[in-house]
Amino acid sequence: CCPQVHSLQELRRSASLATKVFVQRDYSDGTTCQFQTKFPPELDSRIERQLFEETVKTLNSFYAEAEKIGGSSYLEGCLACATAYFIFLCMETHYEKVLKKISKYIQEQNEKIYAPRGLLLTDPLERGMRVIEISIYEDRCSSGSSSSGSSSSSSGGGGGGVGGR
Amino acid sequence: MTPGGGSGPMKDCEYSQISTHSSSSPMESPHKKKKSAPKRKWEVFPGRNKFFCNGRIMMARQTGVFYLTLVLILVTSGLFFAFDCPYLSEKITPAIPAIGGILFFFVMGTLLRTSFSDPGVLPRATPDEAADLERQIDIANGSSSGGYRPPPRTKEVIINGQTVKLKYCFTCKIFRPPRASHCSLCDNCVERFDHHCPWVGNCVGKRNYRFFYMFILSLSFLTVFIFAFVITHVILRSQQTGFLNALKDSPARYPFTENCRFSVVCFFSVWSIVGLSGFHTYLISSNQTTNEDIKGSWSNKRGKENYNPYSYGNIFTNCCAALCGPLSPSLIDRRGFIQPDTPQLAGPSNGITMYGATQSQSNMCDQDQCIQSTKFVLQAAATPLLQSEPSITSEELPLPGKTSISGPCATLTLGQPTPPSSMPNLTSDTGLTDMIPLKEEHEGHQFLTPEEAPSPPGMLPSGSPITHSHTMHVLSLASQDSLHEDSVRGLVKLSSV
Repeated sequence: CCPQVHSLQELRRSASLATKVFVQRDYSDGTTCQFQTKFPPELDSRIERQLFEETVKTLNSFYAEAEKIGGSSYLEGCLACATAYFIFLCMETHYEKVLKKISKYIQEQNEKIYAPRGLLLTDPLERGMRVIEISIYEDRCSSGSSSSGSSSSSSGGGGGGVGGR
Repeated sequence: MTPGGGSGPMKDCEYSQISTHSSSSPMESPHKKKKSAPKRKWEVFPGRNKFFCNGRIMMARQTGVFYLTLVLILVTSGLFFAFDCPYLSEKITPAIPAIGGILFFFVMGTLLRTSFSDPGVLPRATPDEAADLERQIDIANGSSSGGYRPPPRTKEVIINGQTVKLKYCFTCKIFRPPRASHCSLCDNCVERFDHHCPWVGNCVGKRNYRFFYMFILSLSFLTVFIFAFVITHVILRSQQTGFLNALKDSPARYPFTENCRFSVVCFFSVWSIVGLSGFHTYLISSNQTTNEDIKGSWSNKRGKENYNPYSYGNIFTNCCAALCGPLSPSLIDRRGFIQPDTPQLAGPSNGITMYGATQSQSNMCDQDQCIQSTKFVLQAAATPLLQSEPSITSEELPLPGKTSISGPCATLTLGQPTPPSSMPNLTSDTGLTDMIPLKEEHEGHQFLTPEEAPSPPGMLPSGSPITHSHTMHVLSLASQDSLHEDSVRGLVKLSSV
């Protein structure tokens, strides 16, 4: 009887934040930006493991592309050095271009996959590239008591938040 | 005009109806913000930095020495161009002032880039993130009692086969990424922290290391260039007029004696700058930071299996990676506007008021809140923060024979928990020594590499929490509006359980 949340706007309007899950950085490769692909238990009932892992792996590959040290990055670096780095005032770096791609990708993922399941991904850039923050929303219904079942299972780890309505 | 979430309606449906009417912002209407001009994030930045040009320029708090650097470079180059270049361009070639001009331009450009850019500051954890980490640490420790100061928190990761310890920063409430360090002067965690350089008035970290290196390299070339041609000028003139006659000859006397003094200054600066460039060239080729080198993190003396996991193996790749690698963006978004529904960043552990307000935002149950606040009260009591004003600190800390310029540097002397063996190494190695022979500055610079203690600013016994929490009060007022509304909503949620 609770209406399914179909879009980001609807999600924010009709749902309230239950808890947040944080996917931490994976430093096993050094200081390059990679996130752990370990599936957080709180999301168990909300989203398929494969979809989540797919998202994180794609993000990891984007970041690897941004930080890739190769011919084009050397060229950019040398050109910038030759101009005493004044060129950064007018040119967008390769990293910034990839970040824009990432932001679009996250928005797309949110709209297509996460919002319909009551989840919201936050761009790691807004969290200092430390975590992927996943907000778990609960549907708010005037009449629904069936949501209480789902809310208690997913917010179990996070401590008291919104009571089931 | 709907008042937004501040009126705290008890029924969720009523609340959602109100927010449906608000135009674009989904959670709260920014009406309150519109009455006062929306603030940019740099205005409430929790670190000890100065911002100029509406957040475009970012520097450390103490900028006096940076102005000295500027003046020295400008005066030296100015004198060179004014007195030596006319003679030399006539006698030898006009390419000399041209090349000098290019070098000067490069030096100034890289200096300003180093000083004004974000070194790679890590933003502090949001309250939710901090709470989540605390929870995980409590689970790992197996206890959640708040009756004692918790032990230093570390996490171990294996990077390229080498075990690296990640330390928890109590100020920023994060586990520091590898190679990051907390600068006590700026009160920020900085990625790939190298050192805090007072000469450029900023930390040197991941984002501005290449600018710093190009600055000292080009400055070496410039000083060598100026030195060489000043000597050439002196020699040519004395050949022309005879050495003693050159001294007696009044019209030529002024530039000549000035040049002599000038060359003495140049001589000292050449060796210190060239020495520093050499040192940093070594660091780049082995992919180490000044911090790591001083501590001997990757030296063979620690153990045969100890090696640098970040090195690419060969010098060329290391150099290219450091100098020509991609430039990561600033993580602190200085010029962004503060969103009313974004939780404010957690302040330092002394700012109880701010943390108390933000705590209610996180969805922790009451018992956890009590435990957390107790922990933080105890942490605050145990870790007084550094003074924000250097003058107070230098009065309160009697230190033997430090000049007033190195006052803030000197405060760190007491506070340094780094092992004493690491300190003397800096004197010869970094050559952060001067362009002019202010030898006292030596000792000041030794202590500018930040410590690695879990409570970074906290080792000074004289910090006055009252002053700092006052600062926090001022800061928290700015975000109090949004915090208030968020905390009301949080309380509504809690009460509805």
